[in-house]
Amino acid sequence: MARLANTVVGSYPRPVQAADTMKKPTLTQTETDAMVRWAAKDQSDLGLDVITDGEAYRENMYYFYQKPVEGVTFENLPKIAFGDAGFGIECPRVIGRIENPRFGLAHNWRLARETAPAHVRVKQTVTGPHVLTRFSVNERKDLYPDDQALCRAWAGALLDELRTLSPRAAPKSSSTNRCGRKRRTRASGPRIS
Amino acid sequence: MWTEAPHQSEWAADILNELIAELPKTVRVGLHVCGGNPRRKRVYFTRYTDLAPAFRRVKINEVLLEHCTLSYDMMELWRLWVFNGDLALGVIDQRSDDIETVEDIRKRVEPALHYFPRERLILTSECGFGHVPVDITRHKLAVLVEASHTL
Repeated sequence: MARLANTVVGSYPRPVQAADTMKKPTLTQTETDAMVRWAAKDQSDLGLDVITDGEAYRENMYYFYQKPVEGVTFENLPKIAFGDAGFGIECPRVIGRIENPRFGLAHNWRLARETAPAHVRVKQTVTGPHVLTRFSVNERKDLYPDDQALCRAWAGALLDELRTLSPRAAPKSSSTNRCGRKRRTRASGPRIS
Repeated sequence: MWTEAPHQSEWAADILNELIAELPKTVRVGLHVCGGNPRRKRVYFTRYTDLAPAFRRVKINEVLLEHCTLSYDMMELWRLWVFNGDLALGVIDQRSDDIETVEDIRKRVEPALHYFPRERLILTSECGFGHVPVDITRHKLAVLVEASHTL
């Protein structure tokens, strides 16, 4: 009889409480690298089949992707309510073309992959384009006439980043895809929230 | 964020499909849909069954869903969505510090076995552990691993 597999959804605790805040993380690259290694080892030691890098480099699942791109500003953030349970956040404003992401996901994934034993699989997690759309204020209707257009822009930025996960050098470029980005190849599996 | 804006879920699924289509065919894609988990609280309450049209559109290999703390029977989704991929079932409540037992997990998995063979079932939590104390996380995941080996 086949054994049931197991996995985690995504984020893992940090070994110590970080002093960073939602909008101004204070962790250094060295500190986040150490946390990624720690999380990979901790999850592996527990006997999990499929783990993540722990996501300790981010304080939440949206600002991390919204800050290191062009076209988005964190000045004068409007606070917006979502759902009926009193949840709300300050949302960044889209003031230009969303492009040139610098999320560094490949670096973190490789740290986790190097740390975990070979039999443990490491998946890449990424926040979905619709989440990033809902948590953005579109002030460039000339560029993105509606939510679908903005969502496609976020999808394109995520795709650009996911391509960096290829363990081999990607082809230089070829066609333009439906997200408006150059097509390349990679070979890792994402879990999208 | 389908549970927050269900009226957008179908086109959101289409755009996700566009992204997935650009990935190499060897990439395995999982999709997690939940009711939100800011500071360990659920904040969106759309039922998965109300998202069935979007689920039917999306082209994924695995879906990671909440289950053990929902106010309704999520297995009703499988009457509306014929999914041929793997189900990662949320059998651990990361919003609570109470530690589950293997028996708790057995009871939570049992309904899914009516819809998915064992080789397509994956045990997991309802969402991430980012704001859960480390010792609680370890205890919960240790039980999860034990359950996956013994059930």
